[in-house]
Amino acid sequence: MPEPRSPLWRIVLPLALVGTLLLGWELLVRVKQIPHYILPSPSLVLSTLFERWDSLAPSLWFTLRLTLLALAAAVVGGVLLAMAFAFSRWVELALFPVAVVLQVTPLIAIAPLILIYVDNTTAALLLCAWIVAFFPVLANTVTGLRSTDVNLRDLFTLYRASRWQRLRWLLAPSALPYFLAGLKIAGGLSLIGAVVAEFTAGTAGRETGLASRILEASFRTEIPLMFAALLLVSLLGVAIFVACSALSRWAIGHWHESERAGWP
Amino acid sequence: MLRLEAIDKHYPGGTQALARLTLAVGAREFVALLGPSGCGKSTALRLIAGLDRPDAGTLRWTTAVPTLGFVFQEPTLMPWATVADNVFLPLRLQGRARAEAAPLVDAMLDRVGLSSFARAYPRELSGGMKMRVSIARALVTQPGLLLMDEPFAALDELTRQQLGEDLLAIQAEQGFAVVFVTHSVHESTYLADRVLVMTPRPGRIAAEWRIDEPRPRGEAYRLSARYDAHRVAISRALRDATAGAPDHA
Repeated sequence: MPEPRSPLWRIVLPLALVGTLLLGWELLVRVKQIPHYILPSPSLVLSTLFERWDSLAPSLWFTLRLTLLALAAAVVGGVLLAMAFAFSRWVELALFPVAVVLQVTPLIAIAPLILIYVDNTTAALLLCAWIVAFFPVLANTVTGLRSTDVNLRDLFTLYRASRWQRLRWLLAPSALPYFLAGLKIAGGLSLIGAVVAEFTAGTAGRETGLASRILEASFRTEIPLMFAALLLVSLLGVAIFVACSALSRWAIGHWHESERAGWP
Repeated sequence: MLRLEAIDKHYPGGTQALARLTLAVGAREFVALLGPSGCGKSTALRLIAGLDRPDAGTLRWTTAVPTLGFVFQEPTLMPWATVADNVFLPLRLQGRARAEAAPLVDAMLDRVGLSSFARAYPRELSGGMKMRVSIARALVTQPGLLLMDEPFAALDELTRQQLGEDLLAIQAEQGFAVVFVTHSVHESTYLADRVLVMTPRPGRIAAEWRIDEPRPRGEAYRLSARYDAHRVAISRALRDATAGAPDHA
């Protein structure tokens, strides 16, 4: 029998659990003859997904693009701000409270204002998703930059390393595991931000994402379509998490314990 | 080469670490700073390295300021870099290209017996091997003065002895001076030309013991009566220096 930490179990166990739940759900709907407008069976959700794929695919692409753009902006903004914080206490004192305010204020409360003040709906949605996603990148990267080994800092001082050399050869690699942990969180949050913002925006704009599909379907009581769009949102979230985890494993798996120890 | 005169140093909290510390280090000399924990040995080393500034007193180079090498108590390697890249670091920070520096790095790894581990990561090495990498990194720039802060304290006895012998052999080849911080009487007796015994905090030099024994020093010296005589004298000086101090009485 393979070890619980072996890659085989990591795939087989969750799949077996999800499969069992889906089977139970399918049986429940069929045996109890629950109407599809109350609870559609998994098989009906799947068939709806295939039948309505032509209308769902552009929405999936829109949500994916919005999420990735927000994540990219969160990475750039979060890392640049973290570097500014690490190099200047003045910048940190001035800007950190603002970053915290943005983080702790619920997106659902800010989004309507952003949608009023920003003309372009896509830009407004992007801004909403960015607000949610950038803080984990910022907070984790700042922690990473500050967690550099004190003796290594001294060594770089002894050898009169320039600011750039210190950043390139010491601070950046030291902060990388922390940044990647923040990226995993930000990946999920950027999707949540994109979906929540679109819910707030309603079905405005020329292009619409999966949240708009869910809203439209709810107006028409197309419950199977709601589930199909929801399934795509979930799969997108899983794909983003898997991609971030793979990136982390690739970047630091050869030296950092967090990627070597396996799952707890 | 170097002279510290009447150096005072306080920690940020106000505790005085050093009080009128005066010492000199000659070219090619191996000086051991021996004292109890917390007596300011490491602080003195940091002052010499330029990592801290004294509150009072002077630190004067009597020759051209040499290139410095520093070995910490922990190996302090970059876990994300290979052994070769760790050793390359000081040369990289000097602006040397990898291709240009490669022969120096290879030679230094060969000298510390780690050629076959050049592509290994620190996590793949034992404690003694990590310390060898740390020493190779400190010596790759061919420093004039090597500063060592209890480098072998965390190692087992056999590894300590082996590393000590290797250090003396490399010093004989390259001719750098060493300031070696330790709290081990045995280590200082075996390695040093001169042992400076420090008082408990605030640290100052309480006694000096010269060890005019020929090099290379090997197992024969370690087992000799002369070694024992030096060790006993240094132990006595250390005991006298710490007498009356609350932690060491």
